[in-house]
Amino acid sequence: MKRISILIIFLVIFTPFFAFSIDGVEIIKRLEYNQTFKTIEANGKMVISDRFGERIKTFIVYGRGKEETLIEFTSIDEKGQKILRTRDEIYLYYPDAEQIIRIQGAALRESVAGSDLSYEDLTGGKDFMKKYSISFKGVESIDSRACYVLRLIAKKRDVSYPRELLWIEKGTFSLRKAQYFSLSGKLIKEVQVKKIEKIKDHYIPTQYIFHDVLKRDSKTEFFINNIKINIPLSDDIFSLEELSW
Amino acid sequence: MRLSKIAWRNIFRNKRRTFLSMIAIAVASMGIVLLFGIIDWMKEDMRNNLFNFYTGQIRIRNKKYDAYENMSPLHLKIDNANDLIRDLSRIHGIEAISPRINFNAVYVDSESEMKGVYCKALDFEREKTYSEIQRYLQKGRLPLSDRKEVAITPYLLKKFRLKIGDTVTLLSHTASYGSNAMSFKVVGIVQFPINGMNKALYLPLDIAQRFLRMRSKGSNRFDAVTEILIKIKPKFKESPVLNNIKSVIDRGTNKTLKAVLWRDIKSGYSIIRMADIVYNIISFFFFVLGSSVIMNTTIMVIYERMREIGTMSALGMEGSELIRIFFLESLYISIIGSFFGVAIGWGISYLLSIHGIDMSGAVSGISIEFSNIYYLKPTVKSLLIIFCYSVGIASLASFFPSRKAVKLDPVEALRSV
Repeated sequence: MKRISILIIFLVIFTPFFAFSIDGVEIIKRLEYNQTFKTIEANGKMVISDRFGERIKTFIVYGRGKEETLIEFTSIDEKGQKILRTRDEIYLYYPDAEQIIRIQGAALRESVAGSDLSYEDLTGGKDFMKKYSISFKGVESIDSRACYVLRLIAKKRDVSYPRELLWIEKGTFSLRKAQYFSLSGKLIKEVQVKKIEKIKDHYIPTQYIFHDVLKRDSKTEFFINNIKINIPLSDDIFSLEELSW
Repeated sequence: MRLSKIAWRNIFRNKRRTFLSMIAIAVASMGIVLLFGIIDWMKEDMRNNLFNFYTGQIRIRNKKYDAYENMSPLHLKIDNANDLIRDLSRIHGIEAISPRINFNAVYVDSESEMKGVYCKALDFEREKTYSEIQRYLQKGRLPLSDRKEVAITPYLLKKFRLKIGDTVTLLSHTASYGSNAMSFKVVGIVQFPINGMNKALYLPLDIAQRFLRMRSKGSNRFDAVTEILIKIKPKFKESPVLNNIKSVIDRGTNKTLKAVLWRDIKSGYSIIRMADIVYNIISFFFFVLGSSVIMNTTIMVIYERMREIGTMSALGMEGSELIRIFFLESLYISIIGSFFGVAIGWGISYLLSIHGIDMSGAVSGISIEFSNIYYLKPTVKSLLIIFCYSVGIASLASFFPSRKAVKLDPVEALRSV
């Protein structure tokens, strides 16, 4: 009887610890699974709001694996403009320019089409475990949903944000909220996911708000639809040579 | 013998002394003429540059534009600018209108290195009458409308290592706060008289409107601009023309616009006002310096002639007669000296008003609002004022020492060396 009581007390005290300790790495693995596809094609809309009003930009996004993305704008003022992200670089194609522009250095911090998203935000790979030390901070409720809270600290300096806090929904392992900090701990950007859809066995955020804290009264709401995953996509889509075609 | 004759004869008695005093007066007068010439030119040049390149005499902008100017807020634009310009050109008294877009862009080189550059989009045809832009073309030609062409300054040519015929790619924010890049061919080299303008790149307005997506609200036309500068015909008063412009704006559909006189534009007016104060202070000090040279010469001449005053007094000449003789002598000397000083000063100024003094080396890198080549601009009014002033100050300067001298006992005066 005494043994059973000790076991019960032990379980009561340490069960939460065991429950959480599995998770830092495991949670991230599950999150990465949700965010990584063999291929993806989707339509998107950005609603950019700031002190000067509201603007809408539309685009088609194509993705392959962890590191290849092409965004092609379809809104009237940006029609034909493309952003190609390859393993190491980001390239911009503008129909009126004779050259393809490689984005580097300080230009990576520039905003994408006037939104709260920067080119730097597109460079962040999905290999959290290679780049960050992950620690588990507990469980918090976001929009009445229980979420694991993870703290990520960069192992190297070649990341966009040296510190991150992620809120990952229990059960679906999809991102619900994220905060991105500078090395000194200053909050730089924040993402709040408003809607998640299950496509095949992936939970994909389809409506989320990106907020650049350094920009006053500014936010960008993303709406993603017509998501198709693991479909055949031509190699040309992600080719620098074909970007201007 | 009449005193005036005696005075005239006296000035030839010691020719060297008379010559030296005349030279002193002439040099002082000439110096004042040259200084006034350069200051008058600077004031006019600064005003012209302000009107041509910065504020115009009247400037129309979106009401909120000034508050966000450093952000290059292309969305705070003047919609349907062509319609507005058509209505404005009917107003009596308007000499020229210049629609413009000022914006910041980055120049992207072949290695995708990016360098910030300030750009001005101009309607080059209108600028030919507004700012006489063709005067500043050094090489090549001005960009043509509806062509992706730019004119570049020697400063940027060197900075970006470009030459005529090269292609430049510019990346900029657009009026819809997206981004766009466009490639342009360098077709001309322009050099402006002020350094601030020589750090910009110049492109045709209609192409820039497409590049920057300057679409007018409620239409598909790219015909919006960030500002419209207006010059008024010389004999017209600014305020009535401004009121007519305001009426045109009020009658239009765009209520977000504001027309202001250059004097009400803080930066423009404060530059002119500050320059006026500085120039007046410089003029005052130079005037004091010139006056002291004239007075010093006149007083020295009188004190040198104490023995002569004593002799004339001993021979029975009245004190008031003595004062009049010295006054008349100074008057004659100063008239001749000032005449030659003003004439030589005018001659030098005239030559410099044609050829100018190239100060570009001395002022390179300094952002000042007047031209790099200094031209003197003497006015008849200034020449007359300087002549009368020099004569007046020299004649008056003779009064006090001669009055003191005649009060001396003739014996005392004769003893002085």
